Amino acid sequence: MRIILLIVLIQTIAHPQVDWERWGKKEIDYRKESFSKSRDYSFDGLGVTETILKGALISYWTFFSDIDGDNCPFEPSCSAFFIDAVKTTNLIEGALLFFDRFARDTNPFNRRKYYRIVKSGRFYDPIGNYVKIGRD
Amino acid sequence: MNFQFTEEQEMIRQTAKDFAEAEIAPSATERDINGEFPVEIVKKLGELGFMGMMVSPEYGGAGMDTLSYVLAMIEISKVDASVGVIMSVNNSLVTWGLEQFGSDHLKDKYLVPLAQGLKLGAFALSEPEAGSDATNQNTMAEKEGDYYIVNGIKNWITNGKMADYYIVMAQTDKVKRHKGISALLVEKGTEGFEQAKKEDKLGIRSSDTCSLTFNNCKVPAENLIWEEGKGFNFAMKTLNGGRIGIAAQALGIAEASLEAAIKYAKTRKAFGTEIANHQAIQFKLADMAMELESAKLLTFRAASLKDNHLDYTKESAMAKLAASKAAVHCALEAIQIHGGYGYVREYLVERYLRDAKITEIYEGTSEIQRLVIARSLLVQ
Repeated sequence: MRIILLIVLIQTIAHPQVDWERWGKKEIDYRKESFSKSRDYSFDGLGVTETILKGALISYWTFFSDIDGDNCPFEPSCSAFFIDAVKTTNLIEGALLFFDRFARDTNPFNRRKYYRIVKSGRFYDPIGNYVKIGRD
Repeated sequence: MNFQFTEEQEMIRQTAKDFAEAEIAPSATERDINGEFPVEIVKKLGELGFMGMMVSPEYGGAGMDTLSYVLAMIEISKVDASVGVIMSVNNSLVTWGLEQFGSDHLKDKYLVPLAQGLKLGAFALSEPEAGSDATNQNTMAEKEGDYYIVNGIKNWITNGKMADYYIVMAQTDKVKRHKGISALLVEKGTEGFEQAKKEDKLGIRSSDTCSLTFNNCKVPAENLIWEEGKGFNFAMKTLNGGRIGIAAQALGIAEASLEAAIKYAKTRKAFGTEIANHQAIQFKLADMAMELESAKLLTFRAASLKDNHLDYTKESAMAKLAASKAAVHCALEAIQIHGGYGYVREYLVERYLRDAKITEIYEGTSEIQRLVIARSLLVQ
């Protein structure tokens, strides 16, 4: 048990430092363009999907994302991916897709290979990698 | 003088390399045989930002410098020169010119989707009777109200079939000769605009080259780029930058040839040892590497001059001339080192030679590059 705890501890300390380059030493600039600009806080429809999705997202944006800062190494970020996934499929399938991607992208042992976007240097992992867009 | 790349430039080079090896390489040979356009690959390149690398982020581009673009071009052309030329045309001929000389209307409407890779651009200057002699344009554009009526034929247009937007040079005033040429942006699907069938080429077979016909084609007057009569200047300035892209493409082919030659020379045995141990082969490899490296430095210099907003006409012509020469020579020598195996399709080196030859022809033949260089020497 102690060994497992030790491994977990070492993993948590080691990985955030060396894993993704964006998390490494970088000039900190709080004026950086943030994802928040493209956030849509409005509730357009009154459907169940819309309410659950928007509720979850707004909570996440307010309590986590804003405090944590714009340092997700992926584009679209997980929350943006969640919106795309639900819009492309439905709430349940979208949520499964989201968890699928979340598990893949945060897996430090066997991560998929991604290409960086030229502009932002972030790893590109769009919904198109998971579902065929434009299907029947 | 600093010969180090920045962290950002290295990152772009690495991404281009990874992408080329994983996504472009597997289908390169098949596309070459069938002459098939890489639709999916171009779409992915656009999503990653490779189709509008030098366009400012304001217009949806990546806002990178020319050096990063050169590095990406080398890595992509190393794997498939056809994809390289598709990318080069969109980056240095279409988006660069539009950003520099286009009106706000053109930038908002056409530059943004081009830079984001949602649309593809083409550059139409050559005609059946006007290639190197670009001043001799026979395509006419007459102004009628708010429109230009375009008539004529354009030849050898890269991305001709698949492009959505075309930058077309046409005579708006025949009397003034090259001072009467204007650049217009024509959308695919405009009435009177047709593409002929794809040319069956020797090399870069995966890119689509075709001729375009304009028959009373009505182009809105607001699609005029820069000013009336500035078309020739526009084309020359754009081609100056384009040459850096083609030089980078040639460098990619040369690098691929050298790598293939080294790899083969280390494994193939003759006279009881690997052929790499024979001086005859070693000298060839040394010459290839020297040519490649010198052309690379010329290209990097031209790119860096462009980034610093200095005159780069002579340097870009020198870079293109040297790089295309190096590409053809390296590909030929790579075939020689491969012997009979180099002559068959099973090995990639024969494709490198076919692809390399075009770099001595398009965007100004080697003879034209010499003219450009000599003229700038004599003006000084």
